[in-house]
Amino acid sequence: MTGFLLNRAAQSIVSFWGAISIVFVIMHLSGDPTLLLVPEGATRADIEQLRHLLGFDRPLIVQYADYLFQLLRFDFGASLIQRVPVMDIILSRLPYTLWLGGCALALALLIGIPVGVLTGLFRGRLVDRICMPIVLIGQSMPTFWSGILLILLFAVELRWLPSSGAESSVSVIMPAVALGALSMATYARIARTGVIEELSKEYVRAVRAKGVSGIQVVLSHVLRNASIPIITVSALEIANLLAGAVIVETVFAWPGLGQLAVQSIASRDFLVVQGLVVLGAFTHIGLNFVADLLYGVVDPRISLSRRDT
Amino acid sequence: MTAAPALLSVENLTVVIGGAAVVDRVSFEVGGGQVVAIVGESGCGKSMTAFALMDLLPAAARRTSGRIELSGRPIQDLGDAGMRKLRGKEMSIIFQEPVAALDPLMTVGDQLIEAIRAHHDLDRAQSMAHARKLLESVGITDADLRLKQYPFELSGGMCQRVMIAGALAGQPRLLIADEPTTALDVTIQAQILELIKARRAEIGASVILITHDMGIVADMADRVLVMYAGRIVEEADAFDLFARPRHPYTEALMKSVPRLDDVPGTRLPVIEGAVPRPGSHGPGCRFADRCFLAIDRCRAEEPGLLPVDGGGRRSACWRRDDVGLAGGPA
Repeated sequence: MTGFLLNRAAQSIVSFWGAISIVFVIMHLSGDPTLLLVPEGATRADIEQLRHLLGFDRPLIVQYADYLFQLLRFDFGASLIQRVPVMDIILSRLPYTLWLGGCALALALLIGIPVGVLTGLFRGRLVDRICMPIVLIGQSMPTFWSGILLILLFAVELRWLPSSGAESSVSVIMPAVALGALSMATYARIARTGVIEELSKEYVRAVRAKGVSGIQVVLSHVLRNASIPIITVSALEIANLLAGAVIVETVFAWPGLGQLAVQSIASRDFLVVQGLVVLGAFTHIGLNFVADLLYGVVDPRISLSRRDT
Repeated sequence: MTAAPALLSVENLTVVIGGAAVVDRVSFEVGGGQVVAIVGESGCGKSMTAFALMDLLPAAARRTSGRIELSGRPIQDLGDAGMRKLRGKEMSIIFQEPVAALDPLMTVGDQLIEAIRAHHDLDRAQSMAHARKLLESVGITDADLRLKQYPFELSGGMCQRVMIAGALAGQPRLLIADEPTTALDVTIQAQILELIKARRAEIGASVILITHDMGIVADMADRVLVMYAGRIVEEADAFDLFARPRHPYTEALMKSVPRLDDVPGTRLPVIEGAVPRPGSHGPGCRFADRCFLAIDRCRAEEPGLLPVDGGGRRSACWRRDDVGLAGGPA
């Protein structure tokens, strides 16, 4: 197990190094990064001064080494617009995105998985035939559209919830529902398929043949086996929540990282964008590492089969 | 026929999948301590018969008729809660694919403990000690190590031993073995069969042995049921059956087993064609299309399973008196 983890940790570090190197290359590939950073109408002297200030006049390899060491110290440079460290800007927005993403994920897991398990256990029965079309609708609705529908209904017509912003404690409800709906549908479908597949396996009949009750078979065998595909999907789904936040935060004017990304791109604040891209890469790789770790906990075939290597 | 009272009595059992009978009006008895083999090709309804006895049919299959008595007590209407008390304790089953029949994510020890605790009120330490004894009883050395291992770390033969240990944990009076050696290496097959024989004798259980291998039947069975397309076509004591088959299907099954005295280079006889799909047969005998003895009557009218030769022997063939004489299929 330890060897497996070390192996995966090393792979994650290499992946992360690759990702941040690509970010560096893209920054320099598009020509002179200084030109991307300066506002329109800047004089040649301004550009020269900025280039020197940011160190873009140094050899590429020196800049690359400098960039890596900066990242090692969690230093993303300073925003050119707001004149404060990028890290501070990101940290001020991060709690909003974590709160929104966490609520959306909780909604997706707490509703999606039980619905998937129940529809899987009672396949073809009433609960399945009622829930699955709803799940399908949830999966077919683009977030920007479901978000606007929610605003029209609950903010404009019923006036129950604020249409945007994060001032009120109930502000998070609509963006979380809009953001979580898609994941909820994905979890429901994966859990349903997993349960149906496990129920058809021979070991389920064998366990029942021992005299174990049906509910016990589900609790101590089927759910655990069906959780493996759910873990796989979770790493992707959580990453998708962060990507989906870009749209949802724009629709609901939620002051998180997604909105920050859109604003920074619009104002050509490229060091902030770079910081967000690096953070996104780190999150993706970190989530996949955690998923690998959980596989090892759930499935002995993964952790033990590497025992000798 | 044994004089002992029947442990299991099955009457008129029918199992339907999608409107077609895969087990069709099957009746038989299993005496105490007896080994009864159910023989036939794939798709004959052998496994469905076994699953119906345990009330563990797949979701698509349904038992539409049948009276099942275990030790004189009807069990066909007990429902899942009632059957749960019998499964593992009165009747157990082992399967064709031992690795698939074990939960891949649970240790061997925990799976045995689950079987033990389903019927005994023991704490974890006591169950674990019992599980170790069970493993030793099926000839597994290093029991302490094996208890901590997962099914994927064990060989197929070892997994089948674990299955047998679990199936016998409740000292059942009936063990159903559904093709227990089909998925195993030939060298392991004999060991597993010997183990089933020995453990059966020790706890005095009856065995229903489902197989397509006449060699295993000859080695193990007291009594034989030959099934074809959901019907029992012949029933006999094993010795009588091998002395003279009374149904052309039985004879064909026997002839398709390779023998040491076969002339080298000759082709092994095979039964041409395949078992008709459930519900697709005509009004006559279901084997008629593949039968070398078939006459017009066989295609028009289904033969009943009628006594022949005495001794409880039965055959469902219009030409039962012409079967098993010299000059069968090459």
